[in-house]
Amino acid sequence: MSIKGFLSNLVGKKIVMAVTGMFLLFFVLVHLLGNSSIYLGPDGINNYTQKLQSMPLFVWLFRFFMITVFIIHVYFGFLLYLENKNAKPDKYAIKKSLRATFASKNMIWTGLVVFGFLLYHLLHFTFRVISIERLNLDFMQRPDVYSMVIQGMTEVPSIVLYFFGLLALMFHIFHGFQSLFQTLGVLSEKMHPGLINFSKLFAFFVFLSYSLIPAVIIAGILR
Amino acid sequence: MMNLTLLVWRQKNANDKGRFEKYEAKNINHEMSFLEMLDVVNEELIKEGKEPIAFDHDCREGICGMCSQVINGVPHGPLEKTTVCQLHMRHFKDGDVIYIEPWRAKAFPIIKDLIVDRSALDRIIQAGGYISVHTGGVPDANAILIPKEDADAAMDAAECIGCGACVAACPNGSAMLFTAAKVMHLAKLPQGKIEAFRRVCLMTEAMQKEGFGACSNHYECQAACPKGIKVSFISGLNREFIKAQLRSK
Repeated sequence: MSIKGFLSNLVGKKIVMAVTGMFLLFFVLVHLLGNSSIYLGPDGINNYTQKLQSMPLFVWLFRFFMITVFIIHVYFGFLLYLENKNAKPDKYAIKKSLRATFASKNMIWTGLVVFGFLLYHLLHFTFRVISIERLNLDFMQRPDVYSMVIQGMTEVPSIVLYFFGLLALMFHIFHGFQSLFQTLGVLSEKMHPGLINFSKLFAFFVFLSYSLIPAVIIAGILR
Repeated sequence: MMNLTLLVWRQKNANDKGRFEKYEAKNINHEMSFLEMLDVVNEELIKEGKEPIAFDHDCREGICGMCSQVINGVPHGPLEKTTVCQLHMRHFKDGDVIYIEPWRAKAFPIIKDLIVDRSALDRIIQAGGYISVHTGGVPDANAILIPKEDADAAMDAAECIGCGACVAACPNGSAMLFTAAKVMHLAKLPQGKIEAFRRVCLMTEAMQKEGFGACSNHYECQAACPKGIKVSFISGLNREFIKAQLRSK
């Protein structure tokens, strides 16, 4: 089968979703690991930022790769959503969900919320056009990301948006994580129930560990 | 004996808009099957000079895959692993209101009332759901060795009766469970392995061409399947598809 044939095949498209989704999940974990350096105080996260800024080629290659993967994931997500909707034009008067979950039925919507949240997050902390005007340097001449995050996480609208963004991400991963194993054909009948439970646990872990950062800032543990 | 209120989807033909019509099913014996209950309702309609409700049925013993009704929002009704013909009225209560709808999917156009055209499934089979290599005469017992697990899995997949409940249950109107059962039934056996890669590509292409959606892993299909076909066969189809891509040049 040619690349074109693969990309137009409905199983091929699902595989594209699964592979790009897997890379995006890796990013969510790497980003979480990077963010966790905030628990070490200004020395942790400011050093981490300085380190990243000292290798611009790597950072930009990584960004380019992630943006490409993201665009492909969104494009095929929309394509499949529209095709699937088209395949079921008439709705039932009564339809009971036997196995489908809130998460599985709303992937497009939770995905869109995550997309919106990502844009806000980039404007907030990366481009700093929302509330933070510029990134100051700390006393060791490192970019003071620590103070920026502390400031950013004390604004109520931001906190609310982060909460809903993370909630949407949780539901998205909840269905997406186990789904990618099914689509890549590695799920056996035995593994199936276990993986669905693990998927829920994993999504909750992502939600909790990301939420912990604003939580400790609000609680005044990090200041 | 029980009395029921039925809300049945009535539609003259594919072009008609269709609507629900209300019928009272009176003096229904709880030993009747759901189809026998409809037979009773139809006899009354005929006596009154009205058009009887058109519905598909054939063997009435749960193996032909013809009966196809969504009963109160569940394909084949509320009982697991049961076709409509094997669903008995004892599972309903006196005074129940029952919604009866046809399978709904773009690939299954409505012919009349509860009857839909499921020939799209036949065309998926025609695209590759067969073995065309010469496999010779009937081999001696144990001449072709097949591991027990593979033989069992192939038989489990072969249980699919092609009723289309998976398509009816799927929010995407996808025929993945059907196609996966057919692909895996043959891919598990030595005679079927020879054309396995070509088959999975042709059958998934045919499925798309017929207007079925893609699989979103909702797993509604497995829950609705009267034969309990497992979604692990869909995982198997995906695996076969990936293997086919890696092999093809």
